[in-house]
Amino acid sequence: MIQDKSQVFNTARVEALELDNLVEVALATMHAAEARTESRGAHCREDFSERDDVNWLTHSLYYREGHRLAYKPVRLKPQTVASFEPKPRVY
Amino acid sequence: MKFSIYRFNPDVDKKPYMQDYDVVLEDGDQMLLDALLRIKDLDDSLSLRKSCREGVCGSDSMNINGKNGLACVTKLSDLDEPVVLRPMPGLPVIRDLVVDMTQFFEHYNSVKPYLINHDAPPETERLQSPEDRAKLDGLYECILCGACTTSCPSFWWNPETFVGPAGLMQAYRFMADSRDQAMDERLENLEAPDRLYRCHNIMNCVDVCPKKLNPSLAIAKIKDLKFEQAREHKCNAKKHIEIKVL
Repeated sequence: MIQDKSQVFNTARVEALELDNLVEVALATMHAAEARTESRGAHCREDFSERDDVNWLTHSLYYREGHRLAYKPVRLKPQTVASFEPKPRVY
Repeated sequence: MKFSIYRFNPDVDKKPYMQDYDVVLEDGDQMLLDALLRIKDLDDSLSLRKSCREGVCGSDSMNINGKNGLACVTKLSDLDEPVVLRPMPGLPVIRDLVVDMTQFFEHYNSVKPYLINHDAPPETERLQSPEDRAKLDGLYECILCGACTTSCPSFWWNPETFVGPAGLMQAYRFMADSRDQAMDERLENLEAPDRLYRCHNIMNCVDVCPKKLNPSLAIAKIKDLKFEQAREHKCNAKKHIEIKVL
């Protein structure tokens, strides 16, 4: 409960709004990550430990209503510089 | 731990006042900002700026027991109680510990704090030798927290005209840059009597800088460059006269 009702530099209100947004982003991350049955960079799953470019070279889109997910392709054709083939990064 | 904190909310307060807090700290509370966030948990009406909590963003600069500094890199164990916290002096208070930095940034912008180079942009980066790059050490690290400028008596006296230590150090940061081509323009920009020469090497700026930088030295170097420029102009003018006489 925010006690501060001031209109001037009300950081209590700003932080409450930020928390609201953080929860939403966390939900988006959680749902998209659960659906993504592979590992890729920082998205690292024990049950799907390999990168899967056949099925998951795609952007995840999250919609608040019903936690719906949609996907759109990753554009791999740059306009001005040479492209390189997607492949697992091994260091 | 006991605190005495400057409070002012223009919505409700006619005048600013000092409010006392006695807050119980927890294990792991090491920095002043940790204690301030404990206080904010108890009283959410206390306003302060903060962000990175590690001395990189420059948001939580304030006057701590009479000396400007960043709350996030000030150790609680170094502070005498009650810890007296006030907004940075010399700038208008918006609320509590939050000051209006508009004037500070106007001065900063007035020195054109960006590279001026009239050559066509190269394919890759504009390169610099390691020696030339080293000339920027101690200058580029400024985080624009405002601790130096608001501790400067010359700024308090002439806030509208004196650029202040933070702005002047950034002016020198670009004068010292081998890739910059605007030396004359930058020196000319600081010609008005109140912009540069109000610095009398009081050195409060050096004393308070949380990044351990030395604005006073940078300002002295600008004055050296101004002197060199003036001497060159005089020599050139003399040559000009001699040529005329011939």
